[in-house]
Parts: sequence; C-alpha cells; structure tokens
Amino acid sequence: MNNFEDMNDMLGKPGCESKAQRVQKAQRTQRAKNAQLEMIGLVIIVIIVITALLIFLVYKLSNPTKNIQRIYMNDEIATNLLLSMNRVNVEECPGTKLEELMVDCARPTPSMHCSDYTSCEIASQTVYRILNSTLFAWGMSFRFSAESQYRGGVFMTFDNRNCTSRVKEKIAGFALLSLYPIDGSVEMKLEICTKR
Amino acid sequence: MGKKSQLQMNETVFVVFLIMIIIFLGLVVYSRFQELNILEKSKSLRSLNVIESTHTISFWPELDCSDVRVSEFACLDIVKLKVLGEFIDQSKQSDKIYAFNYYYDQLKKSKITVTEVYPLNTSVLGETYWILWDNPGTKKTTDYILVPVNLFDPFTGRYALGIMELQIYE
Repeated sequence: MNNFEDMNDMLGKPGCESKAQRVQKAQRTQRAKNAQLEMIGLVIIVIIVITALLIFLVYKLSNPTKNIQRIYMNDEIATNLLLSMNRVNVEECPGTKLEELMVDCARPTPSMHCSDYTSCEIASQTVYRILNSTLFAWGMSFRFSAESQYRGGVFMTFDNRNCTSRVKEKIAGFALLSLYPIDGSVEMKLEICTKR
Repeated sequence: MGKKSQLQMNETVFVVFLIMIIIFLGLVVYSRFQELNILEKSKSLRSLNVIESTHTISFWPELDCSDVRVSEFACLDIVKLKVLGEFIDQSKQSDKIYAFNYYYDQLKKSKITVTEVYPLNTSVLGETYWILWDNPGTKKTTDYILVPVNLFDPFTGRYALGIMELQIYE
C-alpha cells in the first residue's frame, strides 16, 4: 500500500491525494478541533458567569430588605390602638369606657343602655369612629374583630382594603377582656396586612 | 517575528483586554451594590434611631399619666404635654438653653406632635393638637412613626385617643 502511495507521489497523478496533502488536511482538522474546543470553553465560561449573575439577582430580588421601621410602626399601631381605644371614655355614655361596653356587649344578655342605644350599638359606633379617623384615614389594610363565645363567635368586624385570612404577611395585636363575674372573655383582634 | 507569533500575541492582548473589561465591569457592579448596601444600612440605622426615640417618648416621666405613682401604658397627660411643649419652646429663645440642649441630645433634629382623634377629631393648637418638639433640619426625610396613645385630662379624669407623630430630619 505504502509503495503504491509513494508511487503515486512520484508520478504526481491528478485525483490522488499525496502524503503532504493528507498531513495538511489532518493539521487543518486538528486546528478546527482546537478552535471548537476553545469556543466550547468560552461558551462554558459565559454560561457560568450568566448563571452566577442570575443566582445573585434572584437571591437579591427574592429577599427584599425588611423595613424595620414600618414593621415596628405597624406593630405599635396594632397593639397600642387596641389598648388605647379600650380605655377611652365614650362620648355618648359619660363615665363609661369602651371596654365596659365591649364586655357588656359580649355577655349572653347585654344590659347597658346609653341614649336609647344598646351597648353593642354604641361600642360598634365608637370603634368605627376611631378606626375611621385613624386606619381608614391613613389608607391602611386591616381587619378588626371582636369575638365572644356567648355571641356565637365574631360579633363585631371592620375591615379595609381586602385584609382577609388569605393574606400571609400581617401583624396582629390582641386584647383580652374578662367577662367577670361570668366565665369567658372577649377577644379583640386587630390585624394589619402589610402585603396583599 | 513570524506571522503565527504575531497572531498569538494579538490573541493574548485581546484576551487580556477582555479580562480587564470583565474585571472592570465586575468592579462597577460590585461598587454599585455596595453603595446600595451602605444606603440601606444607613436607612436602617436611622430607622432604629426613630424607633428608639419613639420608645423613649412613650415612657417619658415628663409626660406619662401616673395615678398614685403607677404609670399607665402608652398614656400622655395633656397638662404635662402642654407645659413641656411650652417649656421647650421657651428654652430655644431664652437663657434656658441648657433645657434645649438636654432634649436635643435625645430628640435631635425632629418634630414631635400629638393630635387628638377621639372624641374630637380637630387640630386646635393647645387644645387638641400639641407640638412637643420642633427642631427642623435641612431636609425632611420620609422617616416618621405614628403611635396611638391615650390622652389623659387630670382635671376631668377623662381619657381620649390621640396619635403621636414623630418625624426625623436629616
């Protein structure tokens, strides 16, 4: 076979590849392969860089920095508003605090009356007035509820801007008022939705 | 120098140039993120400062409504509020600058107001609206905190509902 090729080389017949030509072809193929490898390497580096950037961006976007001031304020509002509103003297019932009306309203048979209105009506009206000049006026998303076992669960509720139980991020404040001398208590809850 | 060597030199120069550009871009992006981090940190420190001030004021003995020396939670005595507001205001102008300096250490550049929201929802200065501290800075920041408080009138023994607002300036 080699002798035949050498013979071809010597004769220089057209249509037949010489050894030099084949070597050149092999070198070209090798160079092309090397170039391909370098290209693959470059593409891998670019992919790694893009992946790292994407991971960094996704991490940054999925973990937004928490506004501690906003959290603190919502927490203060949820807790302080409930405690403070319970202590206010109700305008329509001189000498009576809101918590007294709430307790009476949560009992099996409410007995207090102020200006021809029942304790439940006055308490509800007072809570609404307070919420209207604070949370409603500030455009906050919230849910206020008062619950008693003697009134079949929640007997007073106010909400704004769709603050439902489905909302995950919320801050809640609680206030428990004893129904003494009878058993049980009235649970007042104010939830402030931070993200809808 | 051969043609191949020249090509290789060009390739090396190109690669070094490309790497330098990538490093430069990386540094730019990194510095930008660092800048944002520093801004966030300073905001968070400012927020902590506001929170600390609010917490302090809520339990100031100068303002709390005490009954037989028992302090009540988040409750301000409106008589004390009026007296203290006037005292601080006077201390800015008169020889009582020591009082202003004392409160400046605690409140710095800020504005603290208290407004009654129930039963009256009006803003009459000295009656349903009080300015406790007003020391404005160069620029008003967005840092403010609202805290619901009880307003106690010791003459009538009535409790009202008020909102204390604290604003911080830069």
